[in-house]
Parts: sequence; C-alpha cells; structure tokens
Amino acid sequence: MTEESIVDTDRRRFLTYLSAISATAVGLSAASSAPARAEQNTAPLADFPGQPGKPPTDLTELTIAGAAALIKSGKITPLDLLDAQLARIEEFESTYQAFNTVLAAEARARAKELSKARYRGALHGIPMGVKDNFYTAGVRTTANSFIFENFVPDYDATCVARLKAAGAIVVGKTQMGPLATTRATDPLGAITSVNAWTPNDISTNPGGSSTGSATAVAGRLTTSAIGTQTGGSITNPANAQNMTGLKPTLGRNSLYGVIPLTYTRDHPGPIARDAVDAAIMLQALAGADPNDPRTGGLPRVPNYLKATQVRRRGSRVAPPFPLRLGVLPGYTSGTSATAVARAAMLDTFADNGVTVVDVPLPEEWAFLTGSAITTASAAERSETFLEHLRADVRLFGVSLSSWIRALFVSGDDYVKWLRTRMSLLRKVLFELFADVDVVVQTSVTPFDLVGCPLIGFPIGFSSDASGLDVPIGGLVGGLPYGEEKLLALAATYQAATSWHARRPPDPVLAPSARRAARPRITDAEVLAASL
Amino acid sequence: MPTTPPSEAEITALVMTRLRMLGVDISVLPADDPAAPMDQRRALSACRGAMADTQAISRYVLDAQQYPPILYPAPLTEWSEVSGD
Repeated sequence: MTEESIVDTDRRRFLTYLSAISATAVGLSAASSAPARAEQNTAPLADFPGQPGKPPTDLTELTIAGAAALIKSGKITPLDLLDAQLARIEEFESTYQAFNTVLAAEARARAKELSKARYRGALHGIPMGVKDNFYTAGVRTTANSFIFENFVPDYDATCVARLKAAGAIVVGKTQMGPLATTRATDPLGAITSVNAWTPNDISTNPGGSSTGSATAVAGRLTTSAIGTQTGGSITNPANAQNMTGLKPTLGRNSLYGVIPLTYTRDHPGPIARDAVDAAIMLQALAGADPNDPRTGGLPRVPNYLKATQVRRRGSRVAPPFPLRLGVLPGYTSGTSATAVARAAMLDTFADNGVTVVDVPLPEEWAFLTGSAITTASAAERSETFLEHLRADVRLFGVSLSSWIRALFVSGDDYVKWLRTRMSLLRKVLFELFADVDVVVQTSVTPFDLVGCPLIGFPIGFSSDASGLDVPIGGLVGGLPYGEEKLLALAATYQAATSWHARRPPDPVLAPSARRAARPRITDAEVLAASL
Repeated sequence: MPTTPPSEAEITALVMTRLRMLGVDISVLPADDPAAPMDQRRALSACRGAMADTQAISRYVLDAQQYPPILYPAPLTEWSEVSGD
C-alpha cells in the first residue's frame, strides 16, 4: 500500500460513515445489508510469542511483552511477578501514593489460579492498575470524589472485564484527579500521587488525571495500567513519567462502566511501558460493546501487535509500512530542552524510515481550539452531575467551580460548540492530514476535541531545579482509527532509542517525610485544568 | 440595536436566580474563606465567568448549511446494523 493510499483509506472510511448517516436518514432498510460489527480481535494476543529473554534480577522491570515470554515458557509464574510488585507496593506506596485501593489478597488468589491455568495469551497473569473511575465489581469506585466515596459497583466496566478475560490481574484502583480533572488529589485538593521520577519533590507535575496509573507503572508497582482521557489525562501523565500512553479514537474502546466526565470526549486507553505493551493492551480492550453505542459501526479491529513489528535495516530500523510524519510550524523553535529533544526525535525518524514533512496549520486553528470556544463544552459536565449539584455542592470539594459554572453555558452556545468541533474535524481530516499519516502535536486539545487518536511517548530528559532527571514526552496525533500508525511510529522510535527503557530510581525518604501532609491544589488550578 | 451591558449586580442576580430555579444551593459554603476548598464568592465568580467566557463563541458565525453537530455516526450504524467497514 502506498503512503497516499494509506491516508486515502482512512479518509474514505470516515466518508463512508458520513454516507451511512444519509442512508439511515433516508430509510433504515437501505443500509441493513451489512450487519458486521467491529467485534473484538484478541487472536493476536494468543499468538504473541512475547519478547524472549532471561528473567531479570528484578521482575518488576519487565514489560508485558517480556513477562509474557517468561510466563508462557514457565520460567516465571504470575505469582512470582505479582509478589515482586506487591513487595514494592509495601515498601514504596506510602511515598508514591499511586493507589486508592490495593487488592493484594484478591490479586494473589487470582495469580495462584492463573499460575496453574491454561495459558491465555500476552496478558496472562499480568498485573494491572485500573483508574478509580472504572467500575470494578465488588470494589469501591470513587473517582476520588465525595459523590462516589461509598460506591461499590456490582459489575466490571467493559474495559476491566476484557482485561480480566485476557488474563490480567487487577492489583488495585489507581489515584486520579477528582472526577478526572487535575493531577491526583483527594476530594478537597490535597495532593496524593507524586511523579515517580521526583518522589521527593511534590511540586513536579506527574500529569493528570490518570496520575496514579502512570505513577504505578513508572514506579514499578504494576506492569501496566488503564486510564481515561478527556483533556490529556492519558498522554499527559505518560509524557510526565516516561510512559507510552495511547488515547484511542472515540468509540474504539467501550466507556460502559466508566464514570462519565463528558459523553463525547472521554476515551479509555492504556498507559504502558512501551509501544508494544500499549498495542497488547489495546488489542484486549478494543472492539464493539453492545452496552456502548459509541463503539458500534466502526472499522474492524486490526492486529495492533503486527503494527509494532519494525523492520531492521542494518543498524537502522523502519516502520512496518510507509509512514509520513507531519511537523507543525515552530515545533522545534527555541533552545529549551524540549525543543532540542523534539529536533532529535525528528532526526531519528528521518534516519529510520519515516518521511518527515512540514505541514501548515489550518486557518483559525488557535481560535477553534482555544478556551474562547471550548468553554462552551462544559455543559456536558453539568448535565451529567446536576442531581449531585442539587443534592449538595460540597460533594464537589475543590472541583466545584468547573461544574457549577457549566450551568451558565446556554444551549445555543453548546450547539455552536458542537458545530465548531465539526469545523475543526473537517480541517483535521482534509487539511492537516492532506499529505501525511500522522502529525506531531504540542497540545492535546485539538485531537481530544474531535476524538482522533493520540500517542505520547518518551523522547528525552531534562534536569529539574534539584538536578533530577525529568522526562520529556513527544505527542503525535492520527486519523480516526489510525492507532496502528501511531503504534508503528512509536515502536519504530523505541527500536532506535532507549529513553523508554529508563526507570526512575527508588524513592529515598525519611519516614517523617512520608507522613508529612501534602499541600492542596487550589480551585483556580482545577478550573484552569478544566478549560 | 446596541444593548446596554449588564451591571455586575444584575449578573449576580441572574446567577443566583438560575441557581435557585435549578435547586442548587451554594449557601452551604462559607461566604468568603480563601483557606476553604471552596466558598460562595469563588463559586459565584466561576458562574459569572462562564457567561463572560462564552461571549466569543456566541458571536462566532458559521454557515447554517455546514457542520451539523454530529461527531461520529456510530449510534446510527450500530442501531441500524450498518457496518462502516
């Protein structure tokens, strides 16, 4: 397939959907001959051989792919892996504060079962962190909010159920910003999770709102994790903590059993150690769910693992299929560590089989993606939570401003915002992607608004004020259902670099410091994160 | 015809009226306590700010024949068994 035809295929798919709307409007019978649905495609997980290697001294260092090979060959058991991580949780969780709930006993019981069970595939016996806004049957699901502080669902979210069916073990519910807004705090704003790279410096932003998921994986308390993204909440913490985070296209993963922040911009997805692990996770998660109509009628789920199989060309690598990477104006401007890392990233791509081309920003880009427009989207929040606002505004703790203000967005402003989003989507599809497969991004906002996929991955380090290494992340966006290309791009980069393989040093904190009260974020910070 | 911008007092009255109509009671919050996670002054400020912040979008004009507000047709295809692939 040529580069051009890859782009054309994605655009053609999207236009097919638009024509499906018209057909449906004319008469449902005209469009009822193709009942195929984008069912799950988990066969690649069973076929995946893993990445062979000797068991490392510390099992918590393993990626999913590395652990899968060892578990499949019987060199380690799921219980070996889990116990190594539970030991770290015991030793360091008081510093990291990555979890709301640790399910040690339940996880060990499951690991024992799986240690004796028939091998299911790449996620067999893999410990997993689950953000605390995914329903977990019989386990408190709080979204770090007073609203849900005693909520115990009686079923698993579809994403959780799918991971468990694939053999994953839920180790615990991870910390998050209240109702999925800011970095992880308690409902009144007291900071909980730290950045695993600077555990002594609570001021270093660990990224939010899926903070605990990223901290748990970076801190080697679990092998992988899931989070949700409405405004950067997967890719931001992944970038902040040297992880690979994938926000899939809206509808690719089911939102059934996820406490909603919005109905049109929430996206569940993986926070993983590398692109291969992210592909494994997405393979288990993706596919139609009868309980979530947003997942229906979409393209079939491809083999994401295949997309991460980079080609070797001597000392160089290349993606498994041609890729054209678009670069926005000013992407490498300046002399900051981030600008230098971005320039080096582009050089790496150019040296390893990716075609790098400049792309202009469409007209009105800054306006259509700015707060002057996006503030009207807040109405989605108040609609969902109005009954709780009526019950007691104190339930919202430090987050009240960003919910109560939404009551003052008019209906016509909200509809206007929906239309501007369509205008933005059209510019994304037909202008930004006119000549490329994937495009670098400097902000999560545009692709979060229109529901297109984003991947965040490590591209270097800078030093903070204390001289500690702090990760620098890259962000790249794709066309609808273009996750394969994003995974192929990140896998190619990671085959040529080693940033993603670096792990933070263990925390060293005096017991008194561990017990010290952590500061609170302000409602102004919450509001700023919400716009 | 140009209109007279509302006064701060009028905006505050509008906010309070809307909240009362919806049954949302902010009087349970401290009146003005910067040390508290939230107070009435900040809650009111946020509401007034939303009305000010949506002025730009309310004045933005789109072609009425363009951009119908539907993002993805998934529900239609799902419920009518249409495959997009």
